[in-house]
This record gives sequence, C-alpha cells and structure tokens, in this order.
Amino acid sequence: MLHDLRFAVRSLLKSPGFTAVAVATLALGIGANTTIFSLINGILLRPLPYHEPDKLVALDLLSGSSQFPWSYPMFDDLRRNQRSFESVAGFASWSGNLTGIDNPLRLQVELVSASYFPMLGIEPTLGRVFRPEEDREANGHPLALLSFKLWRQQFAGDAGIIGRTVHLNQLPYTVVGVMPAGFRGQTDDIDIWIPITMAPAFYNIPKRLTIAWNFWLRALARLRPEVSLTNARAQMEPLAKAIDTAHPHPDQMARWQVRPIALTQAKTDPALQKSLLVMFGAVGFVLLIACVNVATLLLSRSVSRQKEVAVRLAVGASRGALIRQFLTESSILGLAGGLAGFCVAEYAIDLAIALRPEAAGDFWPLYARTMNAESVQVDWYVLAFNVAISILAGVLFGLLPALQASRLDLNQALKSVTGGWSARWSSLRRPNSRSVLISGEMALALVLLAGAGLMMESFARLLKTHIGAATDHILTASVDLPPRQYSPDAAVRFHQQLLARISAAPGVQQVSTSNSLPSRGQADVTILRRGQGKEEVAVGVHSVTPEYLALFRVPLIRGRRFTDRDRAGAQQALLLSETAARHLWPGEDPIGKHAGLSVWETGQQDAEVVGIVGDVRYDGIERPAGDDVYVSFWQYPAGGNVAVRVAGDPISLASFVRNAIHALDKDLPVYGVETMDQQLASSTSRLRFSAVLLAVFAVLALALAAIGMYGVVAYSVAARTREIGIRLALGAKREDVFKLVVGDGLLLCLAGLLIGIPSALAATPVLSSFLYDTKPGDPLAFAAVSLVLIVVALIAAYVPARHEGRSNGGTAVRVRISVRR
Amino acid sequence: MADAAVPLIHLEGVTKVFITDEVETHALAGIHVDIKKGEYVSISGPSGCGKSTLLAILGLLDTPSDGSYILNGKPVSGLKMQERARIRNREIGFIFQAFNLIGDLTVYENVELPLTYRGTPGSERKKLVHEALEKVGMSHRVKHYPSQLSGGQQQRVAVARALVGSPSVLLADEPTGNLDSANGEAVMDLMRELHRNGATIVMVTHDPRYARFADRGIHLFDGRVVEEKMETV
Repeated sequence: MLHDLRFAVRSLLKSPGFTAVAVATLALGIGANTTIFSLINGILLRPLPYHEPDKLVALDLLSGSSQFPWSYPMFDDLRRNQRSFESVAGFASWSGNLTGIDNPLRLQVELVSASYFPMLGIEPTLGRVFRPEEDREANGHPLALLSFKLWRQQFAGDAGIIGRTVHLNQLPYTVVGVMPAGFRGQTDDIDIWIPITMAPAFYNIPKRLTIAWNFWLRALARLRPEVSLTNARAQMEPLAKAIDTAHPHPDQMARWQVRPIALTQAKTDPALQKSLLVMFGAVGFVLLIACVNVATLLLSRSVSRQKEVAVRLAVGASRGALIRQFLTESSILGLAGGLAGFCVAEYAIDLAIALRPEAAGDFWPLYARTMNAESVQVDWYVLAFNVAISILAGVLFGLLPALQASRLDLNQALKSVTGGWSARWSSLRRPNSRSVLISGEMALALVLLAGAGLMMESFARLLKTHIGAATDHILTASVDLPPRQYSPDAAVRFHQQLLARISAAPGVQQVSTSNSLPSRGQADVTILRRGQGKEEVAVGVHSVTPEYLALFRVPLIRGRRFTDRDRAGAQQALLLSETAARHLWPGEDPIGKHAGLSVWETGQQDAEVVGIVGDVRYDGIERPAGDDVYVSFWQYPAGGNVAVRVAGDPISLASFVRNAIHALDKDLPVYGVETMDQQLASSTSRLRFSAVLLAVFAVLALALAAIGMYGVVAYSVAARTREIGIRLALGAKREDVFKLVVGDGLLLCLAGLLIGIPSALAATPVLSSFLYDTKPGDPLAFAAVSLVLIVVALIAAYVPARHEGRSNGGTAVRVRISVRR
Repeated sequence: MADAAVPLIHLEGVTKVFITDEVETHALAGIHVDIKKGEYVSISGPSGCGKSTLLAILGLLDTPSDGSYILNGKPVSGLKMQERARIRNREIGFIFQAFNLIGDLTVYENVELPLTYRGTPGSERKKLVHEALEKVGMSHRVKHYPSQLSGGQQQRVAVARALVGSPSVLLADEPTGNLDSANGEAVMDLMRELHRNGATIVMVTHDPRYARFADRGIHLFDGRVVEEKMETV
C-alpha cells in the first residue's frame, strides 16, 4: 500500500499539467457540494441548541384549516389544564424602540413566560432569568434580559449592567440578566426579552391579557418523559373542547383543535428547505460531471501508461493489485481536489449568504435557522462530508480507468510502442467508454441547464411583472411611534408635521405615510362586514395618507381618492381595489355602499365606499393581488412607512428624511431607509437565490462538459493522426477533416441530448413550486438550452478540428511512422 | 521440484488463431515442444512465423486456441486470469526487446516489483534485489531511473528483474534487438552465465549469431516447428 501511495504521488507530480487540470475540475465539483452542504448543515441538520430538543413541541391552534396564534386567556387555559407536558411556555416577538441612548435603536423584542428559559434549558451568562412570580401580574414586573450581542455592542459588555434601567418604548425596564452568545430566541434575531405579562404596557393594549379573541402569542411545550408525541396529540382533544366551552365564538366557526408538532420539524422555512435540497441535487450533478471529466482524462492518460501496466501484469501483478494502484492514484487526486474544493467553499459560502433569500412572509418560524455567517459555518460535519465525497469521487472517477487498464491485451501492449488501446479508442463513432461518458456528461449538463433555464425564465418574468404601482424614484423610511407615547391623534399630528417638513425639501414631488408598502408583504388583515347582513370577508387593509395612491401611480378606476377632508370625525371613507370590488359586490356598483370595518382595536365602524383603484401586489411580486381595501390614515393612523417621490436620486434624500424625523422626536429609531426598487429586489430574493445559484451551477456544468468534450475530441484527433494523414495524402480537403472531427463532437452532443431531454423532463417538475408563470416542460426553455449545448459542443470540437485541418498530411504520416519505429 | 525426466515445459498440439473482421489468422498450428529444466532454447524464424506468439503463450501472456500446455507438471492453458498472474510471478521471468522498465520507478524499485506483488517481506526483498543487481553488475545504480541508463544497462536491469524471484524459466524476446553489438554481446554473455548456473532459458531471436548460444534451436515457419537441432557455440 505504501508502495502504491509513493508511486501514485510521484506519478502525479511527474504530470503537473494533468494533475492541475484534474484537481481544479474536482475542486469546482467538490467545492460546490461542500458549499451547499455547509448551508444544509447549518440550517437543516444542526440540532436545536436546547436541552433534549426532541422532547420539545410547538403547539398549534387551529380552526378548520386555518392556524391561529394563541390569545392569552386560551393559552392560560391550556397551561393550567394540560397533563401531557412538563411545562408550557408562551412567547411573542415584536419590534420595540430602545431609547435613552445616543442613537435610539429599533430592536426585536421577545415577550416570554417565565417557563420559557428553563424549558429550553438555556442559562443566562450573567444574572438570572425571569421567576415564576414575575409572570403573573399584568405590567407588574418591567424586567429585561439582553442578548449577548446587544450587551456587547450597546453596553460594551459591562458586567455592571445588572440592575440598570433601559428604556423600551419609553417604559423603564430593569436588566436582570444577559443571555449566552448564539442564543437569539425563537426567530433567531431577538435582542431583548421581557416578561409576557408586560404585553399590555408594551403594546399599549390594556386588555391584551384578558381578551380571548385577541390572538398574538405562540406556545411551546416539553413532553413528559412517559408521554409520546402521538399520545400527546390524542390528549389534546379534551383541551380543545374546554377552550371551545370557555370561550364560545358568537358566529359560526369551526371548532378549535390543538396540534403538537415536534419542534425539530417546525424549525425551518419549508421553501428554503426545498430550495436547499434542490441545490444539493444540482451540485451532485456538477460533481458527477467533474468526475466524468477526470475519468476521461484518466482514460486518456492510461493509454500512455499501458506499457507500464503491461509490465506490471507481466511480472505478476494481479488484477486486484493493479486496480488498487489506479484507485490509490485517483483517491489521492480526489483528496487533493477535496482540499482545493474546501478553499473554494470558503469563498462560495460567503457568496451564497450574500444571496440569501428573505424569510417567507407566510411562514412564522418557531425556531428559524436564518442563513447568516453565524449559523453557516465550516465545522467537523462539513469537513467529514468534504473528505467523504472526495474519496467517493476518487473511487467513482478512478474505477472505470482502473478496470479498463486491468483488462489490457498484454501480448499486444508489450510488443507495440503505442499499444493496443489507441486503435480501439480513436474513433468516437463506435461506442466506447469515453464516448458513453461524454454523452452522459452532456445529458447531465442538459438537465442542469434546463433547470437553470426554467428558473431564469421565471426570474425574468417576475422582474417584468407589473405590481400595479410605480416604484421608481421613491425613497422609503420607517418609524414606529410607541403607542404609549403617541395616541392616535398625536400620531396623526406627528405624520402631518413630518410630511409637511419633507414636502418642503427641494426635489420632493410627493410624500405619504402608510402602514404597508407595495410588494413588501406587510398587509394587515381585517374582517369586513358587508351591509347589514352577517357576510364577513377577510381583506387586506391599508391605512394611507391622501397622496399615497398618486405617489405610487395607482390608477383611480372610479369615484375619488382620499383627501384631507377624510379625517377624524368625518364619515369613514373606504377605497376598494378592483379585485376587492369584484368579490365584495359582484355585478353591482360598490360606490356609495357601506361596510362594517373593525380596524386596529377601534371596534366596528361604518365606512362608505368612495372609490375603486387599481390592483396592487402587496404580498410579494409573485402573488396576485388580493382583496385590498384602503382607509384614510387621518382616520385610522397605523404604521409609519414614509414614502417620498423625488425628481432625482431618491437615496440622496435619506439623511434629510432621517433628520426630519429626529427633529420631531429624537428618540425615534428610523429604519428601512432604502429605495423602493431596493425593496422590490429583496422581495424577489427567494427566486433570485435559487435562480442565481442554479445558473452558476449550470454554467459550471456547461464549462466542465465543454472541457470534457474538447479533451475527448482532441485525444481522438491525436490518436487518429495517421488515419487523418492518410486521408489528407489521398486527397481529402481540410474541410473534410474538419467535418469528420466536428461531426464526432456533434454526434456525442446529440446522443447527450437524446438522453438529457427526457431526463430533464422527468426531473424539472421538482422545480414547479419555485417557478413563476413558467411550466416545468416549457418548450422555449428546452429549445434554448439544447441550442446552447449544441453551440458549446461545436466550439469544443472546433478547436482541435481547426488545428488538425491545418496540419500537413505528410507530416501526420511521418510522425506516425517515426513513432511506430 | 520437477522430476528430471519430466519436461519443465510441455506443449502438445498448441494452436493460436486470431480472428479479426471475420478473417482467421493461424499464428500457431499444432506446436509440440518439450523443454527440460536447465535447457537453453532459442526460437527463430522469419518475421510473422509465430515466434512471439509462442513466447507469449509460454509466458502465460496469452492463451492457446487449442492444445495443452503443462508447466512444471501442471496444466496451465485453461487457468483463470488471477492464477495465471500468480504463476507468471513465481515461475516466469521476462526479458523484453524494449527492456520495458517502468520509467517512474528507480532501478531498485523496478527489480523489486515482482517481489512486491508476491508479498515478500521488505528485508528479504532488499536482500534479493541487491543479489540480483549484483549478478548483472548494476548494484551501483540502484537509485537511478531508467532514463539515466544506457540501453545495455537498462537491459541488464531488466534481466535482474527477470531473475530476482528465482523463476523456473526465463523467457527472452529478442533481448539484443534494441542494443548495439557490444552491449548485445554483453547481455548474451550474461544469459550464458545464468544458464551455466542452472537457469532454464527460452529466447526468441532472429539473429543466428545469438541463436548459437543456446543448447537447442527451434525453427518456426508459418506457425509450425520445421526444424529442431542442437546448437554448438
């Protein structure tokens, strides 16, 4: 074995060109695999960092097929009545403003029950967590726990932080502890924790803990040791019935159900999970193509080594010993490729993280592994994976050349200088290992290209989609007014003053405030009651100032837009999107109709439809417009997304807008300062992530396939020098030789297409959930990628053909004869 | 150990037919040959008469189409690949016209190769390799690569590789074909010396000067033995 190793290393070092090409090819294939595995390891495989995570469950509250967060009274019923769990914890996350510091910060706050930390088995780095008695009285214990990151960044890791006061949404909280590094709560981005019983003060909703129909928190539980998940599920029915009995709903509604789900299953965005698994498949193809390339290189090389092989066999090497020798060499190549691939992965991981998709709007993670530099790291699992696929690749691409070598015609090889293989291997028109490998490689590349082509076509269509609003020349900035400090009237006054200030800036054409922005997936949903009956419809509700619709160029279809007269005290005005108008009053003219609207804790109010406007896609670009209604911000102030349309570059106004907000209230953190076009780009991030990565892998596959094709055609030309020389000597023209060689390449490519197209048709449906306005078997995409493959194959075959076509027939014959001598 | 009365090599009715593109070529047509232990036999004949094919069959590099081949008392014509490799390793030493040394291995490693495949322990390998190189006068070149040696030196290393495992028979295919006359003579002297020390040698040659070095000459024509005579130098 040592002998094999020594010889293998020496032999590889003596062919630096071959070794470099093989290692570089493998580095790309193994590097791509290591990159995607790092993402999968960091996001999907790494166990939850909790004590006995397999015993943790998320408790879903369902009515029919709809999932609801819990209301506090229902959660409290569950906590008191259940017998399946050791403990139950509630939590909710929301943003809050940290003030009283130099630069006010907008933080992610998690409101948690006292059982939350002991149940997860998380101990504080400093101080203590909340005590059970601090989790009973509404607003009774304004305490705070800081994340390690916030403590280090904002308080310089001061050990004396315990007992100090921080101001959250203008309320003082006493810091009682600092959580360990790496723990960022259930959504992986939490900066600060407060007791769940502080919710009324935090949200400024006094009845937050007592209204049974106010759904806002999530529940986690730890199974008792003797209770399985199946048993726990069975035991939930009486609990759900008790909730039904305790909190009867006034209207017809499906009965409550409680469904425990293993936390390990609920931790990742399913769309991201699927996307990563598709990528894993794609890089598997890239690695296969790389292996095929190296196998063809080795096969070519083994022709020049047949003398050595023959001698080894002649002196008594068994077939096994010879295969072992070849596999030792290929394994060393594989490991070298793996090492280089590891370096490739180090860079590629950063690239993938930079392209990371935004979390899905409809996924409320219980434990979200977000894709960032902290969660995606190269650890021992990644290293082991890298080494394993390196060795596997080594065996994969080394096996065929090894078997081929061990079947050498000994007598022939020992007699001739060039040996017995070259004749067999020269023509690509007869099926042989090399032509089969290259056709297979072309087929694999086509499958990847087809996938990438479909994704790119989807992405292009998505970018061309008109969302119903113009997004150019618009700057946005967001500000959250703490409800405790800003009553609705105060909020209206604040935004009136702010809009007036911004309007005065040079270049500003229009300015508005709203609770949502096009394509940002932020629409609040409320119940609209039509007329006097009991028909209720869930609609997206958008609170906007009068200039909003004009600013976004949303067309007015009928009626009127809002004016400054639609303010508090006046008749509530309502605008409908076209889709909402069609669904709510089919075949009727909705203008002048009345509807009951319950908006943001104001109770149900009568509103009059005053106009119909064009549809706007709020819930991401790829989703069609829903039933949206607009209310006047001056009547229902909610949210604080300021939009400014300017004549020039919108980002140049960023500091002006920031200063305008701080001139009115220096304690308000300003966030989301970016152009609407930037926001639009982030809302396409999920498709972009898959499309760009798949395109990168497909281009890689195409390049590797082209190199493979070039290598094989070039080898074939070299091995047929004599034949070509004779053809030329007998009067063949250069174009005849050219056609002969290019024809070989084209034949291999067509064979690849023949296998690749049905394979791609079978494989691409897996992408259907990622595609937008594109069908998996889209003929246009297939035709385009087939054409790309043919062109690339022709180019790869053209280079050696051109070279050979220029050669002199006599020289070719002489070269051959001199070799034979 | 073979009985002195039993030939080391016994070929009976050996034929070899090559079939390519529906054309049958009879390379050997019913060869009957016995070679005793310690004999030095030369095989000669015009180009294409089947000399090399016969040597390949003798060396188990090829199998006969028909007939039987008994080596050291054991039928070997129908053996499997693995067993043929084992016998080649233990019973046969090859000397080729083109030397066929492995360019990436040193002189020492080239000579060591048969012992490596045999699984001979390292210390014994070292001793045997040095003895073999000593016999051919190449022990001062152990760390050289073949490309650093003259043709005659390369062939001497090839002889050392052939005899390092103490095979029953040395098969030499035109061993002087790639050498000038001085080096050719030297190699032939070396082989004669080996024969004097008891080695059985079968040598293919078309050069009558070297054929005379053998005890017995077998002349082939069109795949048949047409003449067998005792040689005198």
